[in-house]
Amino acid sequence: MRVLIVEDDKGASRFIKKGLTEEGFVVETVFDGEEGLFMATHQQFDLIILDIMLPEMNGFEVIKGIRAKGVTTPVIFLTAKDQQDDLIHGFDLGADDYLVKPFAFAELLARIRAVLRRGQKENESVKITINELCLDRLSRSAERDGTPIELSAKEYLLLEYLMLNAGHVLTRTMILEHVWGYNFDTNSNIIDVHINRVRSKVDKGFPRKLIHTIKGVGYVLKAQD
Amino acid sequence: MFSRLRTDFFQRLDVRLTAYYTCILLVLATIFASFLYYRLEHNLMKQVDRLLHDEAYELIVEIYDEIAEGKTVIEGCDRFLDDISSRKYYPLFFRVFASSGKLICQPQITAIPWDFFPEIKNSTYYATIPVEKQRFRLYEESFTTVAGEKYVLQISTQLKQHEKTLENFYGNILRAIPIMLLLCLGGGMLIARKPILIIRDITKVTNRITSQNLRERLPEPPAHDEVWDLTVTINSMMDRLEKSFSEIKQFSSDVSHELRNPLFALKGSIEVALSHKREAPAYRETLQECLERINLLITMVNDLFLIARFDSGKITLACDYLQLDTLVREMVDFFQPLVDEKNIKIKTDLCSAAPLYCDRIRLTQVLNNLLENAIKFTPHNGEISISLVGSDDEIKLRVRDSGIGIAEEEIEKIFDRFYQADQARSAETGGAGLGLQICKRIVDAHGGSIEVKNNADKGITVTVTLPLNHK
Repeated sequence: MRVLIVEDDKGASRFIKKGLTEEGFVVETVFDGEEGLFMATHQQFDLIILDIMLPEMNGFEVIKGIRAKGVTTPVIFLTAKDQQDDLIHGFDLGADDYLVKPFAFAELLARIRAVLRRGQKENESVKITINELCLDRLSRSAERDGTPIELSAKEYLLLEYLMLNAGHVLTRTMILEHVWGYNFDTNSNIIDVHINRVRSKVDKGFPRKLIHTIKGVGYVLKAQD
Repeated sequence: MFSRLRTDFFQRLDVRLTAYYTCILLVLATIFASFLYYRLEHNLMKQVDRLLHDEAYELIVEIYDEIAEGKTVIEGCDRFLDDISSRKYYPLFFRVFASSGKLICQPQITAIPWDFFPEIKNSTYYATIPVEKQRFRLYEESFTTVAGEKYVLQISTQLKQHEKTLENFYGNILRAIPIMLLLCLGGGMLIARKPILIIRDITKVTNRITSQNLRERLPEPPAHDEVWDLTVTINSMMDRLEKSFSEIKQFSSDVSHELRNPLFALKGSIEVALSHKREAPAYRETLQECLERINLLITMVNDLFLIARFDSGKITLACDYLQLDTLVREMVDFFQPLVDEKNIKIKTDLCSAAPLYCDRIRLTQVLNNLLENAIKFTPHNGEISISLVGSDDEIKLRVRDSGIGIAEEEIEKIFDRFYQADQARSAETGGAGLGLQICKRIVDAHGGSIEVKNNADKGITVTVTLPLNHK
């Protein structure tokens, strides 16, 4: 997978490149809009990460140029908080998703996965199984090792979200937004408490723990050997 | 800076105003004087005409008398001449013609320039006849004696007195108008100067005011006039500026304070971690710790940014009709695990009032912040009650906790940025005390109000009032 990063902030650019390389992506970085447009229209990429505030040409102009050349590579916008209102404009021009800075790297990864998946079929399997944990999306129920797990509606959504993203770290912000639809920060540890409830129902009494806390980042549900 | 005050003399407002007034006065005075002059001349002439008419009648009567006594027209003229010989201001002279145009009598009293006078016209008329530098008024009338003989009489007087009166009047006006103008200039300057001086004072004081010196105020003039209005307006503007300025100063110092401590802790953790060679897990632990602190900082910066966006009016609400009680139930449900952990009892009394037109996400944020605080400050086994009371035009949401409460004198400060009821606890639970600030902005944007009161027993009650008809 080849990713083009068009971002003038060298610090941000460097950590995104490093993170994505470690995840197995091949990454090209350019630092201004003009160069970004040139690269995007002259080479083949699977994804473009495009900052809005750029020297020479801003992100909107770049995406306009890219789409005008008939290039359909998915584009994820990076934006500062105060440009959020302009984003609708960005979607009109053919952007696929956006992220507000400062973001957690895990969130960027999740968005990239979502955008790349978009062309293919959604994970529509009715049953998801990770080790001996099994989720039935039709009856909205879960069981581990044949023993049913009692889950409330939100707990089910939380577990489903973790299992659909098995192996990938999810931040508290992502969980809050995905499961409850709240896109603001909470200062309380309420998400941790919700996770702990699910964790106690899923992992308690089993030697192999599936749900893990990544301190400072979030949570991950991972298959164990 | 001060030299700007010494503007060019003719640029000065008082000078220009006075000049305008004076010009207007000059024009008006000229028109008025011309009118008076014209009327005076007209009336004087009318007077002369009446005199001539009367005297002509007198002469005709005398001639009739003489003829009745069997004497001639000439003798009648002589008798009239005796009567008028003593006239000084309007010396009269006359001549009588036969209707054929033959001169019958023309007394030679003084050198009268009869040659300049017109021939008879056999009609009744007045005329002004200029003779060299003098002017004469002439009246001609014809009369018929009993015998049926027709005569024509020309009687005239010099307009010397008349002209003298007019000249006199003219001279007076020429003297009076400049005096009036001078008085107008002086008085106008005096009157116009007063407000100008006040405006200069205002300029002077405003010039002195800088960011360092926002305390100074203009002295209020005693009279409640426009200048007073201006002064009061400027002073209240200064009040507002001073307030915003001190808020900004306070804000900068608060922000730097709030940033300094966590940054210091971060720096320390990293320095300690790097000071000795360690195993990977130790580094990982430090990094994770740092990341958590940075997350808190980011949350704070995001909150500050949200407040700034509200303050600059850049936030647009995405409003829709929704049931507030449903929203509250969802939120209580969301916090249930946390409530269970502290064994807190939540009592809800929610009326299902009319749907509220509001921004769902923002109001959820308000509920989130209020419940978060309530749970944070309510001790284990405590109680929180949430009530929703609707009336025709508003909905009141009350969140009552049983926490430590707030000192009365602190209540006013509770909506200030970075207010912390308890510094030690905030360090433990995170958050920079911006929650209520954000609540207030959101509620304000919905046209509502938010109020905090201490309960009679313990804890506080936050009341949010939202109008139903806000668009």
